[in-house]
Amino acid sequence: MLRFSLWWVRWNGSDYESRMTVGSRKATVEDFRERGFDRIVILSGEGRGIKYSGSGYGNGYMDGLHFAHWVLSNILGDVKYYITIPFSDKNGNLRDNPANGFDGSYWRGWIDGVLNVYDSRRIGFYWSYESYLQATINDPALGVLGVTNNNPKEQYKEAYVQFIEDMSNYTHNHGQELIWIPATGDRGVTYLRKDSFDGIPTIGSYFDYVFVQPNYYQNSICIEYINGYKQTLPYSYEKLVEKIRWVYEELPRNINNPNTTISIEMEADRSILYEYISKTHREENFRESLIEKCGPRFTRECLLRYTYEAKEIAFQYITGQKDVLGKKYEDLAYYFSVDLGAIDEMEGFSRRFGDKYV
Amino acid sequence: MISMYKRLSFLFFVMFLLFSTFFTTGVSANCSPYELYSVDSVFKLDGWLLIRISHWSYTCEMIAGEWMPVLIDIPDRYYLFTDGNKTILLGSTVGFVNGTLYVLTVTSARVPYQNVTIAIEGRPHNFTLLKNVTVKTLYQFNGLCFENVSMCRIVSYPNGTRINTCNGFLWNASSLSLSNVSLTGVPVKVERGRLHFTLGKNYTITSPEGINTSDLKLRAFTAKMGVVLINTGVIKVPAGTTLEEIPILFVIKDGTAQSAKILKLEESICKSMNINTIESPYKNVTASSNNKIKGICGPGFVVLIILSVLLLNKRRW
Repeated sequence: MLRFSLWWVRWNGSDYESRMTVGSRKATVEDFRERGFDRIVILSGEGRGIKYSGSGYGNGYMDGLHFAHWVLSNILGDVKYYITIPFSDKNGNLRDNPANGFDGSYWRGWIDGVLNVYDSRRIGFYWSYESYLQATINDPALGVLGVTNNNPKEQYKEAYVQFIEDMSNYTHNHGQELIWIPATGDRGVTYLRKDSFDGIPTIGSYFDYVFVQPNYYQNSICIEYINGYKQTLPYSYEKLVEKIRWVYEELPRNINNPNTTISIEMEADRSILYEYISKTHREENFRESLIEKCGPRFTRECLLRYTYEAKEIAFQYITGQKDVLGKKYEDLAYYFSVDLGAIDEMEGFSRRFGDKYV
Repeated sequence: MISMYKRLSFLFFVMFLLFSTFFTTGVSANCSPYELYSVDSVFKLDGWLLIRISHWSYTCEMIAGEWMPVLIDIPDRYYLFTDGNKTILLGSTVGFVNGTLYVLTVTSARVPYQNVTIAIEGRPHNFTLLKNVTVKTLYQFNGLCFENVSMCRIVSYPNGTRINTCNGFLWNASSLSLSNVSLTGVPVKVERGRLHFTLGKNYTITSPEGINTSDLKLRAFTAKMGVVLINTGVIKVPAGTTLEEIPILFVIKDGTAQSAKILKLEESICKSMNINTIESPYKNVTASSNNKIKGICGPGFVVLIILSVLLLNKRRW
């Protein structure tokens, strides 16, 4: 039974800094361990907050080396961790072009740079590009790269799958795991079943762990493809269960690799914390707008009700798993923004229903 | 004193609104919502060009405390249809069946259909019951204009009852398909504000006014009524910018490239049609349905649901 936690960092222009806190103080490895996390993923979204010196192997190598040194000297304590492989730069542009192959790429350089710093706690890498549309002809990266015509899109897709396979082989040959946490956003299972809209079955088998983001906490609507066209429906609890069922029953058949562990990501953020929303008067990324629910007066009662609702939605990830699997997944990843206080809050909430959140 | 208090209250209210607008739009110094458009493919039919365009919309969401652009929804597809003179926006569901071009449009609306008054704790409350009305219309291109070939109106009631009323035949949009062969056109060179290309003969034309053509990846195509220039690059524009407002398609008038004026499909529908067009999706549905799935349980059933929701909410808080 493994519990993966995300550890957010940021390049501030001259150095990296950890963004994780417990309330107002900086979080330590021990804080994660106390809450039941045995593996951490050190990342900055899809790479926007990671230093970028330019494309190509050499720049990737130096950037990876620098990052691994920082992790070695700043993430202190006994914990197994994964290091991000940053996909984009601070402006959202790709660090390199995956269609040009893995070998001379920024990303191969990054991995080599990281591997050059010995740390027995490091057990693998995290592929930071989250879009479930990758490895399809609808990959948003195609737009960023300027690949527009349909035939080049197909060629890019094939080259991209090869890139992921090569990256997977390379990390495994160095005794490292490769993990992925793809986002499904507001798309329902009808889209997840379509090859042109879902790359998870295509490349999932190259990863040791795939934690699918249901994104139920963030989205109140769900897009489905019914009778040949797009329809917008409420993202109800039933839709969450449907997505978890797809992850549990259909995805393993499609990925078809016994070495790939497939699960989901648990999701919450600081919108569940009264202390946070009473100061900001703004939700973080919860599905309901705080200003619409509690503005303009933001009374204590309304804010408390709002946090309760947010916690209820976050807790439904547990009931959803129970409805599908009869229990929680053995291995889970957790997104809770940057404050471990959100985990404490969810732990307290779950205890009232006789469950453990982590 | 009271008047001053009111003025101050008003000032705070305005400040609050400004503050709220700033935060609820999700815009920050590091992130602004945007749209991406790009031309996927160009097909040809009887001298007309069918241009498929992909569209991605990005909004800003706060992820781990920082604003990030996040893709909304799924990428949309749009189709433009041009003969070099007239350009029509066909919508997103287009394809060929036995060599004929078909366009499917789907519109949905929530329509009030009954007002009911019920007493809750002795006090009367008015409720308006809503039904969902979806109208699917299929058109075919006859070489000149789009003929209406079939239409279905689907009415769904809150209790799950669905009534389909169809003229013509029912169809499945996924049966519409497009060829895999896309035209590539010829490259257009930009030199000192003039556009040069060879399409049967050499062309030199003036760039469109107010557009920096050196930023565009233009390619030229022949259509029935003239040459069409298509921007095959990726177009990034602020959120809310529509297809009609972006530099994607140009026609040539008097030796100058001009942004094509894009017409709606409704403006290209044949004058005499096979079946009646829909006046409005709000129109009442008649009893002449041919696919009645199950009977309506009546408004009492719906009111019961509303009451249950109210009571549940009351108990929770």
